[in-house]
Amino acid sequence: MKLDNLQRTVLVIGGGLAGITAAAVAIKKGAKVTLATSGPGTLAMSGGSISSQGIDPKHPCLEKAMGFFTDMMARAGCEYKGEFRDRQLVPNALGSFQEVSMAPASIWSGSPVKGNKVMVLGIRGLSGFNANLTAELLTESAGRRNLPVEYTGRMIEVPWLQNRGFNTLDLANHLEEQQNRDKLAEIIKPLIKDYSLLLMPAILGQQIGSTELAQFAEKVGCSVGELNTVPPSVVGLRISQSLLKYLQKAGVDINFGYPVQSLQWQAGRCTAAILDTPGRKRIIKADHFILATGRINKFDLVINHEGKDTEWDLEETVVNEQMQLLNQDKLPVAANVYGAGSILKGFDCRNGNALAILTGYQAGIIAAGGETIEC
Amino acid sequence: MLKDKLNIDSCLKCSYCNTVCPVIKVRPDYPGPKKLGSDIERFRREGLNFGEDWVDYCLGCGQCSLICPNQVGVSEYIAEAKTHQKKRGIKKIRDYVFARPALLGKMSTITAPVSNTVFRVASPLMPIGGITSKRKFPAYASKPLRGSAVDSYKTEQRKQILLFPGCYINYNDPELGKTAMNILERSGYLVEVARTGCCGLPAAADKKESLTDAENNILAMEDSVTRGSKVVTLCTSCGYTLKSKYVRLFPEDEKFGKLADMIATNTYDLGELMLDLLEEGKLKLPINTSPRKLVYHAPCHLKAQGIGKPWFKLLKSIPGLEVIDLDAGCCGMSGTYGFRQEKYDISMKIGENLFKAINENKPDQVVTECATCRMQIEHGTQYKALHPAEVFAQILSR
Repeated sequence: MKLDNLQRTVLVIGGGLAGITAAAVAIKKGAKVTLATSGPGTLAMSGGSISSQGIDPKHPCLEKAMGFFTDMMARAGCEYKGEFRDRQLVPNALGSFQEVSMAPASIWSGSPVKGNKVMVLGIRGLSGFNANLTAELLTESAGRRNLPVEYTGRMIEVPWLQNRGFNTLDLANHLEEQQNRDKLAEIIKPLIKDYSLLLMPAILGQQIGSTELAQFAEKVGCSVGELNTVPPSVVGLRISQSLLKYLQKAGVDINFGYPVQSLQWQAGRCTAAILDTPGRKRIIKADHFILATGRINKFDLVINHEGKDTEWDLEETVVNEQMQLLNQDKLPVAANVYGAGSILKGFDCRNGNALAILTGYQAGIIAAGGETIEC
Repeated sequence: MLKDKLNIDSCLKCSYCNTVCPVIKVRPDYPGPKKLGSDIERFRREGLNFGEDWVDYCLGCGQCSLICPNQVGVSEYIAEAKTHQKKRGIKKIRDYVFARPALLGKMSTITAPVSNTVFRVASPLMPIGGITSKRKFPAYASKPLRGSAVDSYKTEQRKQILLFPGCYINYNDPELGKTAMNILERSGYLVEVARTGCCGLPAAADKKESLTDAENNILAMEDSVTRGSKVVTLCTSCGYTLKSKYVRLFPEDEKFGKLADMIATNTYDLGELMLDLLEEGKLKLPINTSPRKLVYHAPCHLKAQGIGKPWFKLLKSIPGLEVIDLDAGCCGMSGTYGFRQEKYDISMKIGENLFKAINENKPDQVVTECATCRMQIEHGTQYKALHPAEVFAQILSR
């Protein structure tokens, strides 16, 4: 182990999948890591599925990065299923199928299997989800894909939830408690006899992990698959929260809630990030900086160049093999500033998560001191 | 991105605020910060008022504002709505007193042994006043923390600290104030105790009162802060108020606005200051201490300050100490919230997660900066809770 004062310090800016992966890799490689994030970003709004579309299958880091990710998710208590080179269909609440390579275990379990009879569970009073419509559309979509799967919508009353409107988050809060999940399983159990799979909107608690999901399936007496709903996405919240907890346990110092406003530049290096905190701005110094701010906040931060503020002049963000962010002349903007995630060129809405993992992994290794990326 | 420039239209309706609200987790009928904050705010601005009864159930923990991806001041809207609430009868009297902890403190410290007995004996009668009988009132000290007058001419050589004691240290636990003074003096500071009153946060629903609190405190700190003293707090809610609330109170008043700004810029949580010293190499930590297991709870108003968890980091750097960050959410106490008869159950239900985490860890000591978090922990578990400065001082003195 390295001595504390010789340890490299890494500041990761952004708490999405790219930033989290980068932070997890960097701390594993022995760096002292700080993560600054203004909030959960788009990760907690997402469904968490990973598609390999548009990612170079021969990328030398692909295997390692995806392996690292799968392992990290399992450790964080949020198991993923699938292989990066796999392709599988998973259904969604809108009644269509999405082709993914990897997905959270509960989403993956919803995959259509030929000849299956599937019950789509609806709960009276739940807004934003109509089980009968979803079932009808899924049957149609499956038909178009020559998949003989029969989806049937089934509405249930949950007697202890009074007849008022609630959303997936309200239900998730309620079902956070095991006794409530058990009670729900009791209601479903007698209805499921003729079915081989239960599809339900993702409502089973914000903080529950793979173990609790498996327990629920056992109590129901049938495989259970979850459907991502309109935001707030319970699956996304689970991923984001369990990963932040995982990082915290691993020793990453997390600064949550206030955005990085500017980066301080001195003699061609970035020296510190300035956070817009109440009272006094917070200065976080580090040896290396990973920018994983996501597209929405892309370059809301300014560079303070030896006392003078300048805006980023980058239109499209590119990195070199060392993951250093490049300026328009294709030269590193600074020796110690790396880029990861959706800010990078090559992002599209389908490969976002895969790109985040791949680039976050590489940036994390380099920032933590790897001369070259061991892939 | 500057918070002040953003407004209600920046709300994306993403519901992240609802995902962190401690109240909505235990009370599904609570409308939640999205509705009570940015949604209904639009109507309130048109003079239409609804959801009025519910705003009172907001803890004021500020986590909704903190998580907002667009930095919308969700909790500030709810706080503003609280000021327009019309209260009647016994609740009005109770909340008048609860908004003024310094008033109660001043009265009770003068008559400490008597008032402590009165509070104890009167406990079963508390529900008449809308106060739960299930909790014990914190005991009042017979002597409040006294400010040591600092002669500015003699002390120019040494860096000065103005300790903002807040009500709890002033009236209930002056010993903790002394402990903090010792720690600071050991680090070479000259400490002056500010002759300030309540920070004003408990009176947030009473605009006039909170403004008076702020004005008095600003005037009481003006001299020292202008001389270059740093303001140090041990209470994360006082610290949060000095850093983020005062600056918004005087949009029209240049003098007070400037002073509020200066105070905000120079306010430090004690842990924040000590961690700065450690990182600058100006604080030597003990090389070893007897092994023990501490669990640490981060108060909501510490999180809201955006300074990380300085005491956790400091204690963790001391060899021999095993420190676990509980990360179990809000304790549910929120000042006097947990004392209110109609809110006691909500308060305890919110705290369950934290109580469970503490019990599971079987620690030797529980530490947290916030005094009312400590009360809640002691009420909900069998553990005594300490301010991290107390543990730190114990270790330093060995």
